[in-house]
Amino acid sequence: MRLVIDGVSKIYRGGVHALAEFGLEVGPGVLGLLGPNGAGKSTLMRILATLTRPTAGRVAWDGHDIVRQPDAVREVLGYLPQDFGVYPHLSALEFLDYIAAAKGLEPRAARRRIDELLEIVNLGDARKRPLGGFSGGMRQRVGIAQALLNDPQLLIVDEPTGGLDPEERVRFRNLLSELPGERVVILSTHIVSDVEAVATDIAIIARGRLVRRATPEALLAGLAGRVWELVVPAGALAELRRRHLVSGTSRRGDGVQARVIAEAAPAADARPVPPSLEEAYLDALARWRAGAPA
Amino acid sequence: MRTVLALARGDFLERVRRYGFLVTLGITVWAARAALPPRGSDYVTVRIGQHRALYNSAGVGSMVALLTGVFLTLIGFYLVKGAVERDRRTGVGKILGATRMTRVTYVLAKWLSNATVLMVIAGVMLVVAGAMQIVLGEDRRLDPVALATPFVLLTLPAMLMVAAVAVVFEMIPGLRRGLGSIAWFFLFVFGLATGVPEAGGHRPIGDPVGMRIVLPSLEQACARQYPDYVPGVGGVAVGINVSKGARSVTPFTWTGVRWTPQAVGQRAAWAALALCLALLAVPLFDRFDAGHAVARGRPWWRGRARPAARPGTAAAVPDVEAAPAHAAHPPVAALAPATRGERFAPLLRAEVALMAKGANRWWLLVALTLALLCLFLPLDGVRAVTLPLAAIWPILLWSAMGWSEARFGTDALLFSAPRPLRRQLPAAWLAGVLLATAVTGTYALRLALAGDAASLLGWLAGVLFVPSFALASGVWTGSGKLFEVAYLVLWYVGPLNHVPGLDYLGVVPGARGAHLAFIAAALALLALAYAGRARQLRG
Repeated sequence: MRLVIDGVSKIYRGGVHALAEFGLEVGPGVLGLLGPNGAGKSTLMRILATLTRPTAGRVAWDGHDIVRQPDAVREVLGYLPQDFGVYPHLSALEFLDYIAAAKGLEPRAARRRIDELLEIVNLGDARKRPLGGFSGGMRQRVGIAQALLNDPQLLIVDEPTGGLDPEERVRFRNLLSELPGERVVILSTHIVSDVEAVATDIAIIARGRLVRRATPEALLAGLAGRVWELVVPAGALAELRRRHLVSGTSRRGDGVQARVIAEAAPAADARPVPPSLEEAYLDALARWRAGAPA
Repeated sequence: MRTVLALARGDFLERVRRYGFLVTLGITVWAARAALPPRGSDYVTVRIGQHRALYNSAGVGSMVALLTGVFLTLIGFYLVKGAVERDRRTGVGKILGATRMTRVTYVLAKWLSNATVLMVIAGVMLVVAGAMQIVLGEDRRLDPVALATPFVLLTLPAMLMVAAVAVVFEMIPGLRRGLGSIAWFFLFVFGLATGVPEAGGHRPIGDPVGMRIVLPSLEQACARQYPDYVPGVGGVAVGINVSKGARSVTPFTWTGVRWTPQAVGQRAAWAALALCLALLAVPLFDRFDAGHAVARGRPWWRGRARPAARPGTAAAVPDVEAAPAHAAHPPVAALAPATRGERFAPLLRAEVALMAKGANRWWLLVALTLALLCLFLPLDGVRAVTLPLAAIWPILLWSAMGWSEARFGTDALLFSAPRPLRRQLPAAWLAGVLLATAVTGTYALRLALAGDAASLLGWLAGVLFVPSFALASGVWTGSGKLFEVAYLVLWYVGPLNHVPGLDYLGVVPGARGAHLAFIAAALALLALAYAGRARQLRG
């Protein structure tokens, strides 16, 4: 199982460049695709899901060009788009039946799988309720269930945890971690904690380009010794932000405790702290924007 | 007032910056040109006996204004209806509902925006009419006042009225979508248009377009120059009047309507009435409150709402309590296998079930009654009434074809499934064919038993044509509006009024050529739907 994205560009009408010669090879495991809003993540996801054609470049699934042979990937694809809808007058069960039929699954086997998936996404008790009455989180869980209907070898989930409450978010992360075997999972998000929890590999994308590709461990190791914690008076925070990349702040009685990414200690009383993945992501983006190697 | 103007401006810009509006303006230019047929054409648009007004500024302005009023009253409603629905769908409504904006402000803004869109179209008609006056050359003296006055006094009040009705319909849940479109068609046909040809004679139910002001004036002018013409008897017709005699109509000079204070007052009254009608929508406006929609929004034909059954009412329904994240669930690895079969029947069954969800038991009861009446009533009665009724009854189910994926946002899920073009689209089409067969099949059964192959061919043409038309129109326009309007018009003139060339259902026996033409059209439309879906799949 291998997905190869080779020099893919996408230019929308009006000359908007969503992707610029983006390249990546993805094997079994969970790839976390991180990037700011408008980085091109959803465009890339739609291209991989065969919904959008790239302007240039090639995407291949196990050697098959997915633009020329979209069904090669559609047969093994599970896709949870960032924005999707449901038929409001159908129940969760009926809707999943419908999607299963569209995916060409055998009805009897599909029904068993639907029942089990509804239990997994915690909608067993709501299976016969019309979807029109579902909350955003419940609809999202229906979306997760439909993506897993055909036991996909390639699972693409685009901002999957938006609208989920913290417990359901943890549940979803557990589900992704449990996915067995040789499948390729691409998790696109801007929520670093989601990626931190499940990804075996991380790709950072900005302005349609690949900024960095590394394992979470490598990203963290690259930042080791460059994250500092210090307390500054509230009035000095703006100056600190001007001089350094401030990755987090919290108010305290004696001022503001700040986490700073810097090559050297930003102040005499600053102490080094272990970096977080979010800081590694911010650092990679900042370096790329400054023209330094990310 | 500033808020009204700002809201109306935003709404207006959103509409006119769409590609579809450019197409509308292109059609408008063509329509304005067609409204003024040159001498020797085989049709007349405003016919007074065997005469028409000379194409001077007054004649051109009044004729085009009158036709714009009539046709834009019908078509314009469908063009502007949907402004509130768009705010509901895009979520802009929720943002507006949470501001200090009053209901009156919102309703007036939508009314104004609707009217502006219609007046822009009418304005294009006016400009083209002026150009046509010069091109046709019957009288090249351009009098801007004589040309524009009919647009201001005839067309504007009518458009204000249409704009107001569109807003009112959008505020009434039952009339918001397809049923509103159908209701407007019948209102137009029976309430307004039926009075048009006899406007000079007996009084029509309403005269928002100002027929009763213009046509008597035209008749009097005609009678002065052609004494053989007797006003009220000689016959007037407004529309596309095709006849052999059209080539020989003779023009008469007319200097336009004498706008007496009474006539101007009459037109102003229509404008005022439009404002009142728009204001009638104010108490009906729910400020995009989903709970409000639940309490009073379920259309009667869908039956009584079950709690939590309505779309967009998530707030009213308690979420399923999330199980703790560590709670046991079936292991993912042990899920039942997903066996691929690629069989067509389950997908067809799913498409039929999806279509059936758009109906309720009352709809089914009426459909069943019509099917039974088609089976047992005398065949002449079936052809005259029951079959046409059965052919129009499922219009709202058909009109959902081809665009429900876009409407409900399921396109990304369905189009990323294997072979959407070879499986899902044919299944959707076939579901439409099965629906047509279900409601009219008993009639076909009688024809088959009677060995009436010619009529059976006509029925088959209809059963293939209607879903193909619905599917193609849904795929290409991303809406059910075009199908609803065009199908209603076709149904009205074809199966209901038995115009042979347009009788797609074979109600008039023996029109074999027409039946074959409709089968060919069905195949062409199906190919068009395929092409449209393929284009969508290419992203």
